[in-house]
Amino acid sequence: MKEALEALLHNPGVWRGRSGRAVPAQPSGFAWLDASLPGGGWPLGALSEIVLDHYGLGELRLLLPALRQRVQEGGEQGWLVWIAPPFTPYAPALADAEIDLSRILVVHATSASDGLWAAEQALRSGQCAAVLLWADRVPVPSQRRLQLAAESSTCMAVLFRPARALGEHSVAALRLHLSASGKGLRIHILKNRGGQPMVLDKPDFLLP
Amino acid sequence: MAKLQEKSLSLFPNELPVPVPQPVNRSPTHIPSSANEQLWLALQLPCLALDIFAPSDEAVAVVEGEGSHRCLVACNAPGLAAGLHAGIGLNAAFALAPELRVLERDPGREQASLERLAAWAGQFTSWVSLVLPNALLLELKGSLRLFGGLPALQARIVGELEALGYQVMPGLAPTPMGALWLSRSPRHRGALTDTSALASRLGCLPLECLGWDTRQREQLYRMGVRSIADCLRLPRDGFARRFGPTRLGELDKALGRIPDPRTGFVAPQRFRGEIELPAETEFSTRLLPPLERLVEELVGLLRSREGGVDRLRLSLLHTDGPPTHITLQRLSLTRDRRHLLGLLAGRLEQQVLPAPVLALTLESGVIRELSGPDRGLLGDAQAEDKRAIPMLVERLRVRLGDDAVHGLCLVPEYRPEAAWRRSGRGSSLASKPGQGVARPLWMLDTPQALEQRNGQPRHGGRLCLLSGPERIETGWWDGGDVTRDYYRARTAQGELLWIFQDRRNRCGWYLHGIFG
Repeated sequence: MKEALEALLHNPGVWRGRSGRAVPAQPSGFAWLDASLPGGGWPLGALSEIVLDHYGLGELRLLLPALRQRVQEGGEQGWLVWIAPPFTPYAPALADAEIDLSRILVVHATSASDGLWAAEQALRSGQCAAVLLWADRVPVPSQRRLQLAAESSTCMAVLFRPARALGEHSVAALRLHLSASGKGLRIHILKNRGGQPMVLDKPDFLLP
Repeated sequence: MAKLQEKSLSLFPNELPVPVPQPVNRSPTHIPSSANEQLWLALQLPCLALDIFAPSDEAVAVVEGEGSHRCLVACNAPGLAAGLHAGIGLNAAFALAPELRVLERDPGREQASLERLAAWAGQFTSWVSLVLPNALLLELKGSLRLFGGLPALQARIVGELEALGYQVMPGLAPTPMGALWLSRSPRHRGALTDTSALASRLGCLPLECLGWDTRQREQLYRMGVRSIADCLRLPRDGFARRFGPTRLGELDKALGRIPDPRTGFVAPQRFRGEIELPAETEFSTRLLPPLERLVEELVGLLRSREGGVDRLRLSLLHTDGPPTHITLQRLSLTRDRRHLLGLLAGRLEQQVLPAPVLALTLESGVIRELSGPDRGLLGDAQAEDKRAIPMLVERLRVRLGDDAVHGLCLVPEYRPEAAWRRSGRGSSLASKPGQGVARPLWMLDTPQALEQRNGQPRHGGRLCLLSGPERIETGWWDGGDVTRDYYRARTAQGELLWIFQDRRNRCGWYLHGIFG
């Protein structure tokens, strides 16, 4: 019985959730978050999706420490690309967060397909530390294209989507839902490749 | 001894024919030693008449001649499969392949295409010569070491030409004429690099390889001459009398007995290439293969001129109506094939075609000398990495517009909306204004007026003011003066906002930023 089980487990067609395989990741800078993410941080070379109830929940502050480190360590390949942001990324605040402004590229796209195209180009350029994309509607084939482009890179690839995307299928390796929780932030990990879904409550997160 | 003899005879390379009957062919040692210093690659393009058109999956043939003498010059693979071949009459061809698409032969375009290829070939050698109607001559001796030896170089040239869509028959010999002869005979294709073997190897070739007209060939045939070796055995003066001194000169040139000066091709200042489609199309994806070929030819020219382009215009020609132009301007000087193709294909994808397309033309601005990382001894591939971000920016700008891609930089200024500006990519970090007060990560381009109830601001519900006011009162000198009290506020949904009250207008509350 045990032998049969062993043989089955060694079959390459069998995939085990927690196989202990090292997943490349960028520590988020928040120990409580890292502990819940496989590899101990934001996945690299894979798509992460963040679903937001509203802007202004602290979604950028959640990423800033990781972005800062990626840009610093990236050197020549440390570009930080913002594609179709809903508002203007405010340079003084980014400088306060010690993000090298000379490494930032802001791309405005008039249509959803242009944004997706630009994200794919940025991911495939091999020169970016992180690519952030805001998109409303992302059909599954486009998500797959993004995921493939992310896999071809070593980037942090983050897709921000509004709350109505919750019901849709997602191919992202990591999927979070951010919502307000009292005065703080609640992170619902909806999908976690190599880890487990869970809910993290951080009532004190909002204070910048 | 043999060496001494060779040297003494080579003093008279241009010996006039002597009256004593003497065979055209003398011993191989008579070849002047200077021939040893050259190595010519002849590239015969037997299907140039067809290859100048974009490839097609249907049977396509090029015809020439008038009235009942119209016959096929060349046909593509589906045509060959239907039993067609060059030389058969048009009516016979239609009987074999009723669906055949017939294109008129265009010698002008063929020559333009050959010239483009000559310019393209300039990347491999500094000496390229045109042999009308359908061959190129490349002197390779000087390029052998740079390109890793003869077999590698020849394979690369032939391989890249075939990838461009041209059928090629190569011939290699120490004399240009010999190389041309060899290239015309598929059976004797092997490289001939040894001067001493020139006469014996060329002698095996059939008379067709001479490229002379049928009348002269038949005349030779009637004299019992079957190969070039037979031809070389004829008496020189008789040969010159019958076929003219030019023909005798050709034999001498092939054997390297007299010099064979060739006019070098001078690459043009700009690129202009046109490819006609075998059938008009309304799908822009069908335009990609010919576009790829044009870009490849352009890049070859750029390599040979060691330059780059910053302007390109792609024109799509329609059956009626004005052509559609796609213009790329103010590019950073480049000759990167993938980049240029990506830019053009990106724009082509967006282009709405007003009518089916018949042909496409690619024109470049003046080729300018390329400096910086794109050039360089290590080749283009290594230089590519360092330039990838400018290329990404360019690719994005070409599709999304110039203003759509920018960087960020700081401006020392207290008005929040003026404390930053868009910058060209990669501006260095300006000195940081020491504000010490947290600023929101998201800013609205223009402050958004908030609704009020009892003098209190609202945003989808009551706002709870968390901190403030922070008074900003400045800008009186340029007319854009502001007097504002900024607060941080939280909405009922948990969003953290940056709002202000305009003090010059006491009841005005505005949303200016969001703490993302």
